[in-house]
Amino acid sequence: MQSPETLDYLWEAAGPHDPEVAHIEQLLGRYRMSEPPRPLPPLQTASGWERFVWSRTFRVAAFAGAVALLLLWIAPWTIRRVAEPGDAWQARTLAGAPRINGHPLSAGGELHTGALLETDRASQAEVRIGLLGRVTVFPDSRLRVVGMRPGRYRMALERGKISARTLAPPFTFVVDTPGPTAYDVGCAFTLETDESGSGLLRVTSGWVQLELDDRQILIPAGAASLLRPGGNLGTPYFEDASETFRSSLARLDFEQQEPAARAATFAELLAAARPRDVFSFQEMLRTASGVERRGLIDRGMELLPPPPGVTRAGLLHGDESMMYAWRKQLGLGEPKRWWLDWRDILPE
Amino acid sequence: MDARDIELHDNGRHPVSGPPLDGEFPGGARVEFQELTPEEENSREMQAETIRSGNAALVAAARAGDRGAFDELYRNYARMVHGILLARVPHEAVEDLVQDVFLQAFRQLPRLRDAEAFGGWLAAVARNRARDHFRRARPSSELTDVHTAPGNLSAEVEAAAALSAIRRLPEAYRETLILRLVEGMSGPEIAERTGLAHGSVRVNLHRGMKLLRERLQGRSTHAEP
Repeated sequence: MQSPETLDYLWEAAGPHDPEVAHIEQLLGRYRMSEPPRPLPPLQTASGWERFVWSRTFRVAAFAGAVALLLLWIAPWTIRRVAEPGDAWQARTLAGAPRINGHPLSAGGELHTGALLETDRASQAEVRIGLLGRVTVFPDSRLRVVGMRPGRYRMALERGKISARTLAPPFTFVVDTPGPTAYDVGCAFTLETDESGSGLLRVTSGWVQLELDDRQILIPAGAASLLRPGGNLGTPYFEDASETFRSSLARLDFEQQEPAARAATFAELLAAARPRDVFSFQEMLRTASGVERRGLIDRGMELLPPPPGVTRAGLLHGDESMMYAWRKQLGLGEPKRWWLDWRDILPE
Repeated sequence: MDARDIELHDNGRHPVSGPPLDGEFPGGARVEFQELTPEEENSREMQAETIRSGNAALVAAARAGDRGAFDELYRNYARMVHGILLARVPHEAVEDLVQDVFLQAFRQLPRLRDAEAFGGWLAAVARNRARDHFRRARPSSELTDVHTAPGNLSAEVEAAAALSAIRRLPEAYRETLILRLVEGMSGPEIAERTGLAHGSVRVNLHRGMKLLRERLQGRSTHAEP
């Protein structure tokens, strides 16, 4: 029988031996590590980058970044789910007695696809499209709901004036008029028209795209475009341009003038232009030719010198990359990155 | 004090498994552990604390690129790493792998958050390295079972049989027994180096030894605890 003292030898590795343990120790001693251990080869320290990667700061930053990415990833889905209006838009009276499908709106009501909201000379209403958009319908207007499938909300302004503010990805809101169709590109705008298609689009934030047949015009904040019957789209212009510039532009866009009178109007336009008005020149260059094309380019280059690499000859020939580079000189930002320039994103 | 009175501590990194510790070893010996006096307990605790803080200082210096400090850690922990590897890989490969483990540890030191946990962390690095070894190479014949009666074997074959028998024990027993029987480390030293609780090491040693005795004497029940 083994004594308690010998049993403790297993734990202490000292004291009176347990013969069996000692025998196994002696047998297995051949596998013991050689003493002293072999010297280590030259050590390669972790690089600065490795140290940084495993630092607490990096790990915290990486975790925060991952959380932020996750939130960014789910944000559009969450926003849409929370913000989308479902199968009805909410309407409420701001003044007078607006009507929905001929019935008084009273305090509030719902607009479904096909519904017609009308205001008389003394009425004004507001339409809320979930949390994604808000439309004010001014007096003497007719606004019809054309469609409301998720991600695409379409209405038709048959007559009158609306002011819209959207908080949604580009091309979510579409407004048909008797003339062109307006697509929001993350924006706030005012649109007015009569039954013939004559009216005005004013963009106060972001961009709006006007489309008519195969013509598309992107209009930035601060600019406006005249609409005329027969599908005539006016060249967009900045609203702070001089009166001379704006009236000359309207005459060139919509009046059939004699050549001499048109040349005089054209000269007035060139003379009244500021560097910022080269925006209008560039829009005119989409269709201008001959002497007008040369005049727009020469005066435009004088007012807003293009970047290196952009030549007069290239612009005359309509080189797309040169035109794009020159347009960038205006500093209007990119419609595709509208959110970077969205300075009034917060509600008023 | 009976074995069943031992509090089975574990730090969660190394599970203690198996049947309740039996009161008797083969031959009818009762398992009784000498109880330490409070003074002895205090003295050991202080020694362990001194070693831990000393190692932590070495780890901090090594992290800062002090080659001398890392060499000292190497000297202090090489046996532990050797034992952990020997519990898993062929003896011929162990010495090279020990070096690999320390080279890897030196590079990965910035990942170690608690310098006082160096021992447990290094043990984990060694276990992972052993696993990698088997991913890259097939085990050698050394790991094959040896089932001959110990009394008829030469010392070398008997040693191989003993090592093989230990390697077939559950992991917790296997490592602890090799550190004790091959590397010659005491129970407290094993606990201090591996970061395991004293109680866990003590239980692993005694349960492991009991199983080993049974297996070497051909009395194994083949029932893994």
